Amino acid sequence: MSNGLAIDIANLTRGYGRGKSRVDVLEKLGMKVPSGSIYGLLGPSGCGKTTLLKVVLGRLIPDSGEVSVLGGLPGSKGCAVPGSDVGYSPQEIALYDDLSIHETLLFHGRLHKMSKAAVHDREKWLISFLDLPVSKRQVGKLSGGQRRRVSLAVGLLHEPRLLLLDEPTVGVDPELRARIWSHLKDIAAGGTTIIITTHYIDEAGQADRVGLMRNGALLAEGAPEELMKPHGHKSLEQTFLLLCRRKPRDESIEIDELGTSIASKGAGDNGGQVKENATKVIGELAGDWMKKDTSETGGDAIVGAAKVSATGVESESGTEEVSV
Amino acid sequence: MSKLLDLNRAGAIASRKISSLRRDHRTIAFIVIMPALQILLFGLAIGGTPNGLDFAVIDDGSPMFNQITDGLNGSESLVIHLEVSDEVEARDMIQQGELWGALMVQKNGTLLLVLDNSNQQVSSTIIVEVRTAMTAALAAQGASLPLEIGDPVYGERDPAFIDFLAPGIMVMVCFLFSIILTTMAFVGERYDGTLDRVFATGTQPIEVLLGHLVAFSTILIGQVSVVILIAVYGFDIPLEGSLITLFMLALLLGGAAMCFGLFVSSKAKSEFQAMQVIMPVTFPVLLLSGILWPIEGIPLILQPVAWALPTSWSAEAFRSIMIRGWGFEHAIVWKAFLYNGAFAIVMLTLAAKSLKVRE
Repeated sequence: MSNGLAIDIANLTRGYGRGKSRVDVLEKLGMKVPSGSIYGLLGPSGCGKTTLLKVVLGRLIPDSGEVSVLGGLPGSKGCAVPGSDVGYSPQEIALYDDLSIHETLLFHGRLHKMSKAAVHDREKWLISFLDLPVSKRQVGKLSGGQRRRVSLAVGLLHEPRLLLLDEPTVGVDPELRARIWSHLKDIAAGGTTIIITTHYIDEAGQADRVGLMRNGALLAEGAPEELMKPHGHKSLEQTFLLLCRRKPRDESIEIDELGTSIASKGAGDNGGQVKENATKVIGELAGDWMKKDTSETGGDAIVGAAKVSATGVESESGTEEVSV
Repeated sequence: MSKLLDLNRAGAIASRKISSLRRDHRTIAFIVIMPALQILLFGLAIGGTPNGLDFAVIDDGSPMFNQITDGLNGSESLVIHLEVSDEVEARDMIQQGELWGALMVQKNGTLLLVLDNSNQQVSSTIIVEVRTAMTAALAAQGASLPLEIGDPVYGERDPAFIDFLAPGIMVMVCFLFSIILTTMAFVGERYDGTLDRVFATGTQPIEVLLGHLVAFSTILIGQVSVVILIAVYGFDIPLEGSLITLFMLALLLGGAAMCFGLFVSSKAKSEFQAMQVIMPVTFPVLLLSGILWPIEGIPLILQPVAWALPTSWSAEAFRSIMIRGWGFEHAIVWKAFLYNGAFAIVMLTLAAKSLKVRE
């Protein structure tokens, strides 16, 4: 990882099925996650987030493209993934309902070759940190939110270098969610790389980097403020909305092409320059898009944003028009 | 990716599964009580001598025939009717279903036995009774059949059908319930994400499989013990050979069946699909393994199929251990161990191949 990237993905395509029934879930996706950062993966359900995480985990083999996780192709010889370097909390929770919290942690601890004492120490801390009930409670008898927190505890248990958290904060109360984020920031500062998918757009704003995903590709990735800047918006939601805003039907493909183009442009960059380039690319993208819009359809929402972007002023009127 | 097989991880999987099973009282009850119940029902319903069969004896008053009548009267199976006057009446009563058969003296002095042969087991019971009574009567007259049946090398003087059947039924029960136990082992886990999670830790399919095998073996030991105890001590099926050899073979057979079940589990797309495999397995096992009928009586073309089933080898070996008292020195016994072991390894390999970490 000389380039400082924990995850480096370029032109990743992965689908399911064969022949005519084949569906590409990920299409020429590019993604760069610097070591020791929190990466917020944002996108509607069905956009391929979970498939992407499973490729990173080595559970799914890419159909094409380059994937490097912690310095190697997941599942290949010499790559630490899958293994104890990675912690994974899947979206579907996926815990054994008939085990107690204690047994669940002990089981995963054993798979990671942790000693009983080490599991015990972590268990004590995780239970108080995540506000979990007594550890002899059976997982199947917990509430949905509690189960999700047990699932998160399993991911955090062995203090892996890479954490993949698929919607870990759904149904978690705001106070605890803040606590979880603050802990994630702490361990990221200590060198842990974290990918977190979420539906809460505001929450993703706390990440070091955000990837906006749609239809199997990243529309844009970069630091939240950089993503927002060219569009002159205060929120990621509006940025995302702008990026995926549907044009008249016959042109909707263009959006995907733009998304793809940005992803592949990003993929060609070196890690250190990612931030700057992402900003540039997104600026270009927004510019392209707006030009097209004014010349062809004259859609006023985008024009509003274009004006704002050109002047560099964040205007309330611009944002209003975009969200129309 | 470091090692091919990490027994510590397999152990973790096993102890997790054992914790689950320990809480799953219904499965434990099902898998230990059902085989016991099946063996019990087989023992009670199959192989008992039919009783209360109505049978007419038309006595001509000769001392020889008197002796035969006395002998038949002493039989528990037959209810003797002496009121029938001649062959015509006897045949008429058999036609009406009032009698199973009749014995009389013909004009030329020979005995005539007329039977309702619609039920082979009933007919052979009557024939055995008549033959026994005749032999006794002849002996009383100082005469005997020109054939003497010597003491058998193996088995009892009067071999009971259940003695042939019981070892086969034990084999079938051990085999089928081990499959039932394992076919659904991780169909659910493959789709609910728990297996994704396990694979994310670097655990290998073979470790998952061995873990499950060890966990289920704890139930298998209980199941096999119950089956052997009921057969040998409950129904007095002879056990001439070593109890330990029998127990080990039953365990190995159950293990082979579990490996097959795990293979099904690693392939099936749903629990329903896994269940569906059980039916098409049950009948070939019951019919082709020499459990109900000797394999020698199966058409030649089907015999290779029969010998592909581990139950055929096992049933043959079970009978040899239980009735002949054979041990490892005999090919039938060691080949059964060998075949079951090989079957288990092949199934486990297939299961490991179809349970992919990377898809």
